[in-house]
Amino acid sequence: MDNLEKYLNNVNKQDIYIPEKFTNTIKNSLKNEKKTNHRPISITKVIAASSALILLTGSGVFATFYFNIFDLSSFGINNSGVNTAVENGYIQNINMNYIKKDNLQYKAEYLLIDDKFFDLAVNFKFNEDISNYQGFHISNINIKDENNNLIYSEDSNFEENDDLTTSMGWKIIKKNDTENSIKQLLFLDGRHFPKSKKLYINFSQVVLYNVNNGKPITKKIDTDCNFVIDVDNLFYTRQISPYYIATKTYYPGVKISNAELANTGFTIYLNSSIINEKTKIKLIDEANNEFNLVNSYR
Amino acid sequence: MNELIIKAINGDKDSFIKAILKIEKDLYVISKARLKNEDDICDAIQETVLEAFSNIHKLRDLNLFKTWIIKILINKCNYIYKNNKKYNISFEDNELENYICFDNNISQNSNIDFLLLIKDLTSQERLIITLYYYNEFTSKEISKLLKLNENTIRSKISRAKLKIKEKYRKELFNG
Repeated sequence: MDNLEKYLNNVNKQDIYIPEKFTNTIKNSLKNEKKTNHRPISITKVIAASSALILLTGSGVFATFYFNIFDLSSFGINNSGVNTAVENGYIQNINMNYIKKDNLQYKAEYLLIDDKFFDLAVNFKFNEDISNYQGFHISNINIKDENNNLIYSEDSNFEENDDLTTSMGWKIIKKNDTENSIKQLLFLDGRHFPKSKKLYINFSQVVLYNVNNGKPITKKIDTDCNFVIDVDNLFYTRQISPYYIATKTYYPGVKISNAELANTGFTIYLNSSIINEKTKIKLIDEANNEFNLVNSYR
Repeated sequence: MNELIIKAINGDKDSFIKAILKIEKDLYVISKARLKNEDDICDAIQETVLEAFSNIHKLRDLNLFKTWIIKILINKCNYIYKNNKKYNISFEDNELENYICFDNNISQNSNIDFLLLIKDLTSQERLIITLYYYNEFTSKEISKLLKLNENTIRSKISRAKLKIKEKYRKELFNG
């Protein structure tokens, strides 16, 4: 029997830390009305520090628009790397007209792709006032590129992949009492996305619902939406700069496996048996500048 | 334990909660193996407690209480895991929670923490290793719980151990 086997055979004697919240949830489960603990966004997966980004073509007005519409932090994505990239114009304003189909109008609005992140916003218009709906969902969405690389799918096999964190957010944009639309953001994090030139997007249904009324789903629109996005060369010609790790780790149990600079940030991968999601990490350079860290732990 | 379960079958909520708290660690480790996010874990246990209490009259063998609860919990965790990535939220309705700046009150064991050891396995591998080593189910019992072939369970355990060894070979498990 090797050391690992010995360790595992005794693991049930280990004093596992149980968060107080877990115990309290059990204690209160039958006392209170059902209350969701759900946080909609999963934590992203690498330790990424925003750093000197490669500056690309500027597009300040559009960046302002982007932040006004989608403040990523408002739904749990504290990613200053992506935000800084957008501020510096690393975003594609997609020039397309609304496609009309099945009582629905839709168009892709903007796109951001680098090796770490894929960020797509789609705008939907409806033939009715939708301001009272509280929920929105796109069903059976698939995104592929010209080489048949599957970027995103709701297929169950695709979702089993632990490497990808998916965040989706939507917002009603009210123009006047009768004319309003929904902006939908799909934010993918954690995969080495391919250098695609075209994206083929399809979905088969959109759902609007009221979560507070007894019956949750109030409106489904079946459709067969397909459209293609020509990806800006900003994205498919992007470069990622690997860093040579010259320094060995000084802290026992922590190893720097690699580091790389992409358009949305400088990412350092640490392998460690002692870092967990409660560990506070700081990144400081030789001049004592502390970098803003976003997202950690896998 | 059996006394608590009998009282729970007769509708005593407090006894039911006490019985659940007695197996709290098993339940936490299983849900932590399947789901990484603490809020998801709390959702899973809450759903499990609600469903188990409303169906406790269906429990035929008091000795299988723990297994029965774990089975419900695994189903809840699987449901949350599969649906999480479809979750779509309104920008207006959600307050930001900062999941990076946790406090440092975690117990610091001198040994490597089991949950950290398995953290780089796939979600299914983590669950199987946890059920096998931490909860001490046999591969046959796990195959029933997860509706997978027993040989599949065995090979997944072997593969997961190889992955752990490969990752921690130099640091922890020389020999």
